Formats: sequence, C-alpha cells, structure tokens
Amino acid sequence: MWKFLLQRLLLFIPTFLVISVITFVLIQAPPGDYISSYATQLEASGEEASEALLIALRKRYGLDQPVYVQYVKWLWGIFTRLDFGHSMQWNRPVGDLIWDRLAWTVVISFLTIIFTWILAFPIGIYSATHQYSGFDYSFTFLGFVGAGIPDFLLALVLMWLGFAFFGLDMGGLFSEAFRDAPWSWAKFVDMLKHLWVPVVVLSVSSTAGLIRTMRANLLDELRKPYVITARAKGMTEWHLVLKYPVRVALNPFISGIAYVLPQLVSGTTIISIVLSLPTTGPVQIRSLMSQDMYLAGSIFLLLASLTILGTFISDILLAVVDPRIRLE
Amino acid sequence: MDPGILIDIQHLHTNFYLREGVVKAVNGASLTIAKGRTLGVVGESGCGKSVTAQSILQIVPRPGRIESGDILLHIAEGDLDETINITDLNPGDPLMRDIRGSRISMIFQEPMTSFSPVHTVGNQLEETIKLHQPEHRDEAPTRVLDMLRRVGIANPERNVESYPHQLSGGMRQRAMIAMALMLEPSLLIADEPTTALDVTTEAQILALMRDMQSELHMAIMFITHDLGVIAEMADDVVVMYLGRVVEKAPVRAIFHSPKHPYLQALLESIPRIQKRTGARLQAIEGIVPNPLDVPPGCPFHLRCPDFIPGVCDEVVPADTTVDEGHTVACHLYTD
Amino acid sequence: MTVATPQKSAETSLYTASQWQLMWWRFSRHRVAVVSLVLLVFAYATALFAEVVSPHDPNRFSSSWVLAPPMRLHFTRDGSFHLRPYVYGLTSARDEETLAMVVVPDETQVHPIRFWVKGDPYTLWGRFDSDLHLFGIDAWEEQPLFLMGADDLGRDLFSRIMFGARISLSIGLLGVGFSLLFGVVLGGISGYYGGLVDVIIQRIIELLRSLPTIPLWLTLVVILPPHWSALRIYFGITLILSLIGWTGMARVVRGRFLALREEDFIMAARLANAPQMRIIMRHMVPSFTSHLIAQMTLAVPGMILGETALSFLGLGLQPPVVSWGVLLQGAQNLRSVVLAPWLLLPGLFVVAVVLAFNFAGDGLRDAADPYAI
Ligand SMILES: Nc1ncnc2c1ncn2[C@@H]1O[C@H](COP(=O)(O)OP(=O)(O)OP(=O)(O)O)[C@@H](O)[C@H]1O
Ligand SMILES: [Mg+2]
Repeated sequence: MWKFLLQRLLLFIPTFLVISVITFVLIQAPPGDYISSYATQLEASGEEASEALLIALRKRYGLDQPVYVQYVKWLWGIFTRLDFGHSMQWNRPVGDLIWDRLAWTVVISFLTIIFTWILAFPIGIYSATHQYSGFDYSFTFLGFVGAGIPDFLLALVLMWLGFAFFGLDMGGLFSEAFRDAPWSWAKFVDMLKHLWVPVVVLSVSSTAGLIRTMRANLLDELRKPYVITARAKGMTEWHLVLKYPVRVALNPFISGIAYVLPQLVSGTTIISIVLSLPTTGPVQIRSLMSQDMYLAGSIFLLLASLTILGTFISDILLAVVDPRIRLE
Repeated sequence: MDPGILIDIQHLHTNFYLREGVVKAVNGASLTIAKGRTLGVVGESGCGKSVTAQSILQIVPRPGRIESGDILLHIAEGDLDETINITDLNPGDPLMRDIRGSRISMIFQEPMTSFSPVHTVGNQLEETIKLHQPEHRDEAPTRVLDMLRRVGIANPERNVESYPHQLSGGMRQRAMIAMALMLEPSLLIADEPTTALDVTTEAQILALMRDMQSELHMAIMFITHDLGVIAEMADDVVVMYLGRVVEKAPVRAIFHSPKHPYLQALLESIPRIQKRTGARLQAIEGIVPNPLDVPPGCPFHLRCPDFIPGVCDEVVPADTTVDEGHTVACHLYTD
Repeated sequence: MTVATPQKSAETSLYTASQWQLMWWRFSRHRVAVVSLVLLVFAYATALFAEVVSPHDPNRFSSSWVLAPPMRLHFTRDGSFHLRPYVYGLTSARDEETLAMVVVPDETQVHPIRFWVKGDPYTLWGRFDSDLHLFGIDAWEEQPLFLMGADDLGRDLFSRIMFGARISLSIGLLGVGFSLLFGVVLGGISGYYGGLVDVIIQRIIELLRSLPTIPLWLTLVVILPPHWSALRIYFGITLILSLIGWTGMARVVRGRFLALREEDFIMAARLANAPQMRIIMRHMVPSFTSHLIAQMTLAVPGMILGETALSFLGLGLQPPVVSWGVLLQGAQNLRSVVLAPWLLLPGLFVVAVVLAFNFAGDGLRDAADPYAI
C-alpha cells in the first residue's frame, strides 16, 4: 500500500507543477502587465504616471526579469510564504482575500459529497437489485432530468420560487442580523438554514451521476460468480447483496470522488454568483473582469490543487477499502 | 422412493424468459443421484448441465425460472426420514436456504471469481457455519482451520487471513472445497471444478474430492466436458443434449456399450490415445440448434446419422431401458 | 457447420442486415430516444430558419414595451370556439400600487394570428431578402406579438430565443466537431501505438479531467484578445470548451482501438503490409463509428451548458451576439426574475435540448453496444 501511495504522491507533485505553469502562463497571457494597467488607471484618474515611477515599480515587483525567473520567484513565494502575489484591484496580498472564501468552497463541496452519497447509495442499490422496475425507470428518468438542468438555473428558479411564494430570501449564507456577528450557536443554526440551498442545488446533478455509477457497478457485480457462491451457501438475498456486491461496488464509488469534486467546485463557482455566497466564485469573476490576473490565477491554482488533492484522497481511501490495492 | 436414492429429478423444465423469446435450458430432464456415489453429467456446452445444477439449489438466475417437474430430496438422518420436493419451495423459502450450503453445496469452475475479492478467505468460510449453526459460531474459526488442513492447505493459520488474490488457483479451489464441505453435506455439486486448472493441479483436486467423498460418504454430481475425467471419477453417468437426458448408465456401460447415436458419435470422435484426458466434446459434425427454437421430435435428429424421417422429427423419444440401470431416449431402441 | 438449421425468413434477414440497419432497429425500439431525435431535428431546423420562424427582428426595441409579459393565446370569442387563435393588443398603464408604468393587455384590440404575414424585412443566410414570417399578426408595425414576453429593452424574447438557438445549438455541434478531431487523433495515437505515448496522453487526460471546468474556462476566455471580432470569439470559446470535451472522445477511441487491435482483420491488414495510416482509416475508424456517434451525441450537452454558463456569467459571448446564455444574463439577479419571470424561458430551451441530446445519446449507445450497461 505504501508503495501505491508513494507512487500517487509522487504523481501529485509533477501534476501540481504542470498546473502552476499553466496558471502562470494564464497570469502572464493578457497583454501588458499590471504596472501598465496601473499606469492607465492612474492616467484615467488624471494623475501623471512618471516613467521613473513605473520603472521603479517594475523593479520592485521583479517584472524586469525574464519570465522563467518570475515564475520561479512566484512559485518560491507560494511554497515558502504562501504568498500568491498581489491583487492590483484590491491593492492587497492575494492570500488575504481568498483563504476564507476557499474554506467555504471546501465546506460546500464536502457537504454536497456527503449528501449525494447518502442519497445515491440506497437509491443505486435499490435500482440495481430491482432492475427495470417502475422505481428503477423513474430514477433513471429523474437522473437524466437532474443531469440536464444547469445548476445555476436551478438555483435561480429556487430563489425565485422561494421569494415569489414564501417571501424568502434564499441567497447568502447568513441572515442580515448574523452577517457580521461573531460565531455563536444561533449563527451556526442560521448558517445551516442557508447552507442547504447550495448543497441541494449542487447535489441534483451529481447525485444523478452517482446513482448511475452505483447502479451500473452493482449490476456488474451481481452477475459475478461470488454472488452465486454466496447464494449457494444459503444466505438471504439482502444479506448477501449488502455483504458482497455492495461492498465491492463501493470502490468505484469512492474513486468517484475524483471526478465529482471538480464538478462540484466548478458548480460552486457559478451558483455562488446567483446565490451570493462568499466562496471564491464571485471574487474570481470580478478579478477576471478587471483582469486582476494574480488574483484570478491564484484562485484557479488553488481550486485545481484542491481537486487534485481530492483525487489523491480518493486514492488513499481506495487503498484502505480495497485489499487488492492495499496488499499490492 | 428407493432408500439408496438421494435426489430424484423428474421431468424438470427450467426456462429463461428473454426478450428474444423463451430459452428452454432444461427441457424435461430426469435423473437420479444415488447416496454416496458420483454421478457424472456430460454434454456439449449449453446443453443445460449448469442450469440443472442451479435448479437443484433453486439458484437459477433471473430471468430464469423452474417451470415444472419435481426435484425430490431424500433426507434420512437418525430418526428423520422424509422427502422434500424442492420445486414446491420458493427460492427464498427458509427451508430452501437451510438446504443450501448444509445438505447440498456447490463448487464452481472459476475459483478466482467465486470468492469475493474484498473479504478474507476465513471470513467467507466461517460464514457457512454462522449461517446454519449460529449456536456454534464461537467454534467457527477453529473448525475453519481444521477443514483447511483436511483439504491440504499448508499453513492454514496464515491463509485464513489471506484474500483470494493472494492464493494460487489450486489453493483457491481447495479453499472452495473446504467451504462447501464445512457442514458435511450429503451432496456436493461440482460444476466443472477443474476446467480452469492445469493438469497437475487438476489431478490433485480430483484426488482430494475422492478422498473427501470416502471420508464424508457424500454423493457428488460432477459436471464436465471431459470424458477422461468422467471415466476416472463417475460411478454413474448421464448424457445431456439440448436440455434433455438422452442416456444414463453405469460408467462401464457408457464406455463399453454406448447406445444413443449422440454418445456413440462423441466417443468415436475421441482418438483412442486421448481417451483418458483432455478429450473435449466438440468434434461432432453440425451445430447445436438454437435453444430459442428447439426442433420438434428428438432434439438430436438434425445431426443424427441414423435419422428416421417421419419419426425422429415428430415424436419425442421416451426412455427405454436396455439393460439393468441403463436407459436411452432414442427411437432406434423402442419396439 | 455442415448441418444447416432451418431459419424463418425474418431471422435470415436478421443475419444479412447491415450493421447500420441493426443499429437503427435497436435504436427505434427506444421510444424516448426516437422522440428526442425528432425534437432535435426540429430544433435545428428552427434555428436554421430563425429569420422566418421568428415574428420579429430580434433587435427591434421599443421603450413602450419594456418587460411586456407574454401574451396569452385565446381560442374562444363570445363563447364560441375558433381554431385560429388571437391575442389582445398591449397598452401601457400605471400600476395602482407601485405607480410604475406597466404593460397590460388591452381587451379592445383583437389580433388574430395568421400564417405567412409581412413583417420586419430580413436577409436569410445573408442571401435571400424577404419580409415574410411564418406567423404573426397583421398590425405588426404598431402591435408587437410577444409570445414569450419582452426583455428590458422591449425586444421580443421569442424571436431572440430563435436567433439564440442558432449560436447555442451550433456551438454544441462545432465544439463536438473539435473534440472529435482532437479525440480521434490523440485517442487513436494512444490506443494504436500504446507504450510511452499512451502513458503520456493518459496522464494529460487524467489531469484535464481533474480540473474544475468553469474556473478553467473562465480564466481561458479572459485571455482571448479583446479586439477580436464576434466570430473569432465564438470560435475561440468553442475551442476552449472542447479542451475538456475531447478527453471523453479520446477514451472511447482508445478503448475501441485497444479492443480492435487484437482483432483478425487488422492483423490481416498488417500482415498484408498495408501502411499504418491506411489501416487506421480504412479498417479501424469505420468499425467504431457507431460508438463515436453515440459518444458525440452525449458530448453536445456539455458544450451547450458550458457556453450558457460562460455567457450567463458575462464572460462568454457578449451582446449584441444572441445566444441562450446571453439571454439568460438578463435573469442574473433575483430582482429581474421576480419582476419578469419569463426571462428564465431561454433556460427551458436549454434544458429541453440538453435532455433530448442525453436521451438520444443513451438510445444510440444502447443501439451501438447492446451489451454495455
Ligand atoms: N443467465 C442466463 N440467462 C439467459 N440464458 C441462460 C442463462 N444461463 C443459461 N442460459 C441458457 O441456458 C442454456 C443452458 O445453459 P447451461 O449454462 O446450463 O449450459 P452448460 O451445459 O452448463 O454449458 P457449459 O458447458 O458451457 O457450462 C444455454 O442455452 C444458455 O444460453
Ligand atoms: Mg455450465
């Protein structure tokens, strides 16, 4: 198992490097650098941007150096000081702006994964053991519908219905009264009252996918000879289904994290705009619109690292539950 | 019922209901299994051997179902003497579950996939005891070790903790046999138990099965393609063709005075030298008819060299006794 | 194989039917998929003839009809039923409560809906000049026909949806076209050559699949040069969307190649010393076209949803280009949705098309590979 995990860990490092290169290219890609944008900004506000000042600024931020030096410095800053660069728009270090928001992205994605599992697991099992039953057909159909509705649209419709029929404001994570209040039990409860909306919205599409995965895997497993062996031993049908094929079908379910997580992070980005959630989504959009590339790029880097970390975690879990990998 | 008989199958019909039509996998087969003896079952691929075995345990997979017929199981144990008709029971009936794994157990062709890959061998072996004798669950680990030792698994203490993928093919089949024999059943059904093994391992497993049989006095229903193995293992033989039993006889009669043209063709197609091992039943001219569309009359008439027009393609031949314990279903032998 | 089993004629034809006929038979058993396919053909035809199908010029605006609600079609008049539906005209009135000007139906004006009426002039496909519209009302100059209401500039939403279909639907096909190109080339190389090339390509696919799509797309879209023309941006976005899409295609292609590599006819071609590229093109590609078609159908929704999301966020296509995503920008905040819920209607079209593609694709996949689950 250790060999397997080490292998995976070693794979994680080059992957991260590749992503960091991609990110840096993206940061550098728009024409001009942020000093020239800064100059334009100054001029727009009527101030004189002297050549000397600009050169000094360039030097200070290392923009006069070759690109690969800039890249190494940037990466070094991230590794040693968690310094992701400077947000031009906010005139603050990028890190300050995103840690809280990243945490919310993680919380929402994590809760959604748990919630989808709770839903998809029993439904998938039932659908597979009752293949082609009315229930199976309805869930296959609902699954299609769920996968076909864009999550932001679902969020919008939910907000609209909530407002039009119940006068509810379902946006945000806290009510007005708690927004700036310190953490307390009441604030926590208030948060839960808001948090279910994004979790449910995001679950709709990923649950559909997971049910299909669970169903397909289980149908595969139910045909395997070891099920017949168990049956020939005299086990009851439910006992044997739960003990053997479900247990084996769990593995693809766990490795499913690897592809569900990017989907969830992606979904969180967009529904956060609609639901005004304090995740990385709104900041990323705003920074992209104003070409604040260090901020935008850093968010991308962090989100991508997050999903790749998710892949790594799913590998670990897989090794824990699957003896064929663990005892390799 | 003859007291020497353990299982008596009469006119068994087991069908699979597919979208394309009904597959009559077992189409009126009758056979008996004597106590403590080995019944060999031979026939080409798809003739219904496995489905017959599954029917005995009521584990025919969906969309298959036993349609009609009787499977009588004779239980004589101390004071107990009764006959159960298995086809009267539901597959989920507690009595049926009770029979499976304790009175009748089964081993399969694929020792690798017949074990769950994510549970230890010990766990899967103990389960049989826990299911059928929950009151003895504490003894389960020692009984498992004991049984593993009896089937010749070296270092059982370590191997109970192993997962199936850590054992060799032969070891897995031994473990499979140990699992099947854990509760000393009166019938062991072996569905091509050595097909996936190499010749040396095959010989060892066959020897093991014979040893265990004489130790436990159980009957064996041995399904195979291999006439060599039949000659070695079986006391009695039934030959199946397209869901029917076409000939049954003691093993000597099968090889020395085969009656059915199908069996004769089978035996002729084996070169003399290969007769003992490695002879497979594939070398007969013609193909097995589509089981979705079974021809009328004798199922073999399309390939039969002695085909009698107007008889063989119209009337299903009945069993004819040609000798003591030797019956054949063929119009050539009806008077 | 010397004894022939008697076959009924229907069964004989089953054996002689071509692969494509077999696929079609299996597909046509899947009723939902067939309906979906018909719906899709209809949708694409509508998009192709958007100028004719829409009653108005999509850019014709009027301050009088800002956020006019959808008009109801009426079939009964004075208690009797008319097959030809009609609508009431619109008029501005002051909301008693909020004192704001709102558009309300005026029951004194009755406008029957007719086929082939004159309307805004247009040039179909940049070539045919006309002013005939499939349907509309006679008084089109003074009275607009708002089947799905009007947007915040008083433009007809239905007409805009018809024109938006052109962009949204074509981006789906074009994106899948690009994906197919990358997917077949890279997946083919991966599956045909195997070895190190395969490992590298598989790693790239794995990496791309583990990235969160929307953040990636957003960041990429921003670096498209701002001075590009709308057409170039359109192609740029399509390319960006297919950057992830090809991975799915490549998987199918690679998988089929690996399976086919071992099959006899490829071996035969190899032994006959046919050049490698010819082996690929002549023998391998056609034999899995059916799988590819299914996979392509299933990939279209991802493209359409991607464009919709990007444009909805204001970072994809920009007005005056009309796509379903651009139209949904109008519904971005709760206030406008509460005020004019019909602004969500483009979303309904997105969902319908996506569902149709998914169902049709599912049917095609079953037909291509009856043994897969
Ligand atoms: N699960 C199933 N679904 C549909 N048809 C089945 C199923 N199992 C068996 N059959 C059909 O029943 C018939 C008999 O199958 P069976 O497995 O008993 O053959 P067999 O004699 O054991 O062959 P083999 O020597 O290949 O194991 C075959 O025609 C087969 O197609
Ligand atoms: Mg069999």
